[in-house]
Amino acid sequence: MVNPARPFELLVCLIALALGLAAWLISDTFPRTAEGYLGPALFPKLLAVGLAAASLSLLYRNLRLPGLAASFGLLAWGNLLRIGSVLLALLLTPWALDRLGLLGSAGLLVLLSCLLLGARWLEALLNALFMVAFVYVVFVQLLKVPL
Amino acid sequence: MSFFSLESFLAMMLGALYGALFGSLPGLTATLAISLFIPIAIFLDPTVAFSAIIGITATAIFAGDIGATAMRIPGTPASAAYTEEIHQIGKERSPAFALGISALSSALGSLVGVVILIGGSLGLAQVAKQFSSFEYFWLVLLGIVSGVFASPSMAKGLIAFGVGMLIATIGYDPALGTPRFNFGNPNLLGGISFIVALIAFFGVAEVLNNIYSYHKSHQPAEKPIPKRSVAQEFFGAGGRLVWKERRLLLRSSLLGTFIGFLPGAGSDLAAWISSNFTRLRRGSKEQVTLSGASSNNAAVAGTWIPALSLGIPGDTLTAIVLGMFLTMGITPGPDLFAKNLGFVVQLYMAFILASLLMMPLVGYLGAALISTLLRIPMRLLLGAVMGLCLVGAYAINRNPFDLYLLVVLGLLGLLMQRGGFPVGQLILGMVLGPLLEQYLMMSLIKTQWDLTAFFSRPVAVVLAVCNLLLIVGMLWLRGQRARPNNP
Repeated sequence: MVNPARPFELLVCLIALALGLAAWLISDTFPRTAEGYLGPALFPKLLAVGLAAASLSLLYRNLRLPGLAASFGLLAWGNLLRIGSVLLALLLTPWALDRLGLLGSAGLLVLLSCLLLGARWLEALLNALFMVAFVYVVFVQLLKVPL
Repeated sequence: MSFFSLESFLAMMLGALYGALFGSLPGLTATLAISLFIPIAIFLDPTVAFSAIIGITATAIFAGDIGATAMRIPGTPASAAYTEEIHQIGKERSPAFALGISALSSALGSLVGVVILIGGSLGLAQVAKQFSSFEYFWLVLLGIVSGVFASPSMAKGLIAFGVGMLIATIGYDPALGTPRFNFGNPNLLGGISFIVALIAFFGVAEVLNNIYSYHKSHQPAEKPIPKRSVAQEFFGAGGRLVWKERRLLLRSSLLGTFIGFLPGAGSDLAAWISSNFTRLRRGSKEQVTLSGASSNNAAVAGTWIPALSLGIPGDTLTAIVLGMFLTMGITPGPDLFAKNLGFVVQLYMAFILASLLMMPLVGYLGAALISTLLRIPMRLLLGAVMGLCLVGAYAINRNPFDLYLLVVLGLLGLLMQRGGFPVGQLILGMVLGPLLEQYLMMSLIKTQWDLTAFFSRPVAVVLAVCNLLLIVGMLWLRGQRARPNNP
């Protein structure tokens, strides 16, 4: 049976392996203790070894199983693009914060997320307005949180 | 302010309803409920904030059964252990009966857990005063080992813990104060905010996960023909069954409390082990549901034992709560009982109140309002969650850099979730990693890097042996489970 989780499993393994290697290499630059021991580099190096070992074993298991190409065929590319749009909107939020403030930016993000989740324009807009009102009443008015 | 003031009671009630809403809706978890509440909680009086948190934790785990009963979709991972059985009961008899068994056994299971919490944490606090960095090192390692084995896949558990612990190494190191992995960015010197990470890994990742699979529509609940009123089914029939199975309930609750007490194990594991034991003994659907529900709620109280007495979280929820304690200037651990005894006693009383009153009440409301609650369109609810994630992450430090972290960590959370990696263990890694490093380095520095010192004290040796036994025992159990004739 084709497992739709495999491409994600593979990607996480590669990320973990890369993180482990990077942690090992970067921690070489950390200062040693006065006695010459590893010091601040010791723990990251131990983690790097553990991460590399676990990710290599999972990679080996993943790549040995048949049907890898078919599992990539199950990826919902259109939905990945939608995810990219939400993340892009979130990345642009610091820019929007200066112009629209937090409430306006949050409202826009809610609107976009609802639309990408399949909501109709009107209900998405009403939901965004409700969210802005909720945040304003709860955070600003009731809790006096400076936003 | 007291835990028994009107404000605290209202906070507990609202927290219970809020937790029930999150727990009952698939995709929204108890952890997410707490994570989204934190930005509000830090601006409240500690007693009001903790009343609400107790209300949320008391009902959110139980409310996972509402989604399981109605739609066969567990609202929380802890409910997944007996989803099949509770859904069948709801379908064959009535959702009110199924939820009656679950709510009443959850309430009693939680009460057993609280009684042990009261006795256990005071006793542990005395023992904990004898602990040095060696004992703490082994204890934290025990939490990590049990967390790794609690994951369905050991390699995935290891990766999740490793990534979490590596993320926690960003910033000043806890023993010598050397800045690490900040790449010259002053925003990373203090490390990655735990709250921002929580919101990213649970909130943002959950919304992204739903966007990824949004075309899949949930099936509407199959509605059985009601033969009796909701109250009769919930309290009458449900109550009678719980009384009849009181021995099983006590056994499951004790087991759940013990599992909850182990750092890193948590209520999910408690529910799985307890309901599997009942299945192995060929128990009925009702018995499996009762043992799983009582066990996972007893585990909720159990996770507070190491959290209060040792400052070590038993699961993700208590990890967040510990962060809350520290934010509010309360240091959990052996000294908590000396410095804040009144606060601790009131906390216990609030737990009892939440178990006895909130769970049955919210359970009954849940049974009555189940269809209304589940009619909220997920596309609107998740959109609102995204907005709350943004506001929550920004409100902590008012630093736009946290929003970039939200993107990176949210994406990592999505990939891990889709790949079947336990994101909860990553969060536990973020909490336990710095503790493990701190105790490791402290021990090494004070003994001039003598590794034999880790085995020089009797309690340290006992804890080291516990680690070894846990590893051997869990490997043996996994081996048994992997046999072809063992389902």
